[in-house]
Amino acid sequence: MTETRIWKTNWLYFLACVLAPLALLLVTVQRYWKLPELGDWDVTQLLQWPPVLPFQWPPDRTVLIPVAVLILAILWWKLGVRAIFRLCLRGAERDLERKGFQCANAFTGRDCAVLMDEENRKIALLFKWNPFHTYVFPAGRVTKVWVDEGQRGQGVMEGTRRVSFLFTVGKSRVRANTFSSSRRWKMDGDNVLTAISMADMMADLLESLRKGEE
Amino acid sequence: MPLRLLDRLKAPFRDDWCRYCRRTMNHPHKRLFVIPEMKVGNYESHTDADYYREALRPVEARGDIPPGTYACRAVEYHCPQCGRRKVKLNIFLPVRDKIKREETILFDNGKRLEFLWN
Repeated sequence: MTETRIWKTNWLYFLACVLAPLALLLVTVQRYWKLPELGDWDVTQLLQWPPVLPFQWPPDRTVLIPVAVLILAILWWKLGVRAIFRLCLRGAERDLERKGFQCANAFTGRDCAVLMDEENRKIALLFKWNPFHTYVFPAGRVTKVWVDEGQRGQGVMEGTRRVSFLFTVGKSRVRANTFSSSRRWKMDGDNVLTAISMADMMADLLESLRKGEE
Repeated sequence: MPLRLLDRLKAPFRDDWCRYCRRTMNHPHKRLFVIPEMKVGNYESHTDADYYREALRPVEARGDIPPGTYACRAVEYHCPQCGRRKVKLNIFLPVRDKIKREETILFDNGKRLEFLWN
């Protein structure tokens, strides 16, 4: 258990989560919208003004079924995967407690959860894309801990999109984001400062746990 | 008369201003504290002096504050004329060479926080 390689992504689960709703969407579109075969599409109909759809809408309300499936698929991608991660994390915490793991400090990010047992000097990891497997290993296996502020740009463009703390376990590198965004935020912004502080704190805890092991 | 009016206007904006005597107060005590139980992401506002009696631990310098822990700079103001005391608690999160200001609390009854300077 302690020497296994850390798999951050279970590709089967990942593909099932991403592709299954997509496949269902395609099936319902084909079934209810009665799209013609790809070769039968008359594209010139789309080019004329006003454009005409190259297929007939069904006259009843079944036309809305693919729309409902699309909404459900988006909800699944946005919320369902996260809900599974949270449920698995709760289950893992109960399981670890039963096995004598005394969680003193924990960090739960969007992509992974890091649990620390200071009494037994152990660390437990759970990943969003591999939520059915909890990795537990002695803190001594952690070889390096550091914080990545993600600082990019210069002058007024200086900022960050991601703040994280990282550590290496054997050959695997684990990154836990304390802040991530699609846009760049100023380094002295409140949310960035909070994230840097959180990352510093977690890195400090991991480092002390690691050194205590040696 | 214009000066008195100006003083009155200034008073609400200055922490070291005695609103009764309308004069600048001394600040004989300044001290840095850490709030060990308050970690980043778990900040809660407290306006009760008793809470600070239990929670604050004095530190010598900013370097002694562990990462991710809130700190508090306390300043006491003393009016040399009427003897009134005020205490200002400036609560912040130290992040490397920067700080994230959280809250400033002003206690008009400074005697309740005298324990800070002992």
